[in-house]
Amino acid sequence: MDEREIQLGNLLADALAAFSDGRSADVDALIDQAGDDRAELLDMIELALMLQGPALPAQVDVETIAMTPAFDPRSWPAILTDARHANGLERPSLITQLADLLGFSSDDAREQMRVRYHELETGLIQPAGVQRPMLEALGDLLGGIRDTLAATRLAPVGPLHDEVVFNRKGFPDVGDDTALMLMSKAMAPERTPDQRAVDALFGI
Amino acid sequence: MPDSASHDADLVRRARAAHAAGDLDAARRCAGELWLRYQPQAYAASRRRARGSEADEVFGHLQLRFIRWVYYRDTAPQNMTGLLNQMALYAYGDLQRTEAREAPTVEAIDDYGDRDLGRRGNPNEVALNQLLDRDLIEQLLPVLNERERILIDRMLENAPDAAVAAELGVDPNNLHQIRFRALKRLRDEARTRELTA
Repeated sequence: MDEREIQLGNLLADALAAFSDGRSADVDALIDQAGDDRAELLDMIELALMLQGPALPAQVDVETIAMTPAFDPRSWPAILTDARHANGLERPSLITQLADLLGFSSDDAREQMRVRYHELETGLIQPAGVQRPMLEALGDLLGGIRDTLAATRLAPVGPLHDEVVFNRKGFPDVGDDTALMLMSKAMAPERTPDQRAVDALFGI
Repeated sequence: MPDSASHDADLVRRARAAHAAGDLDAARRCAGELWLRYQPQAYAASRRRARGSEADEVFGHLQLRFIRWVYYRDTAPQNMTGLLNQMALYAYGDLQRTEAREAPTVEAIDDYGDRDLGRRGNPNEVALNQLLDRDLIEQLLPVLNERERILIDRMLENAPDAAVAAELGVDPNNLHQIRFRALKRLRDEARTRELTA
């Protein structure tokens, strides 16, 4: 048996002991000691863990981790709505505070904030794209739920909220350029810089 | 205590049923227990993708993906370590997209290719992911010598190292090297079979 296998065997044993004792953070240093054999050691760690079978967590540990934000099964529309109601905030009041906190004072920015927040709370915008300053501002204004929002950004947004209403904006299929011309006229006007800045915060 | 696979399946089933029924605390407890059962495996999987603080971020995203998988997917848990490795691969992709300020698509969040789990990535990882299934390990045991096979059997039984060393008549310190070599043989055999399949 060569020296390398002896060293890797010892590192493997130490890593398994660290996991068993709840010292996962210590495993990084052990893996680093493997140098170029890092991948090899990780292979053996994974194999050994598989053979040992899953851990048997204590009930108190289960209760503790289950209440951490990452395990919140709700998606953003439900989290935002629940938190807003819990804090006694109507949407206009929240929008005003949000705009103030993020430094938007113009009317067009505040109107854009209203539109986008409505879309976010009703599930029309995916939270995955919301930028960090917006997430933190919402988290602070809605009762200190930054961690919950950050931990649930990737949760699939469920069925659209009851408040969502679609306007019908169809165009007749006239078979010539008329439809394109109508669509062109119906396109949204150019956004102002403030509106674009607000959109960017919402990931749009 | 039921066997691991059926206990995992039961936890996932109960978490999804509780989630669907609106009993969110029960859903959280079931998902939390399942996560803690495989947290070391998730930690190792994240270290396979990245190092240092980036590995911590991969671990965090992996946890989110794991929890979402429990709540929202309808597939039963199989080969949990292989599944975690797949999720770590996607979690690393999350970070790359974030750096590029690009939101992940719904498909990217939600699709782990369960049906071809372990069929993605480089050949070594493919072989390892397939090996990381307790049901398949039996097929590979014949490549081990008698002493190595006893050692692996005792690992499956979660026997303490001191007892295994006494049974094999070796110094406890030597047990580490024998174990490493036995695991390596299993992995290499899995690779060989994957390459010749």
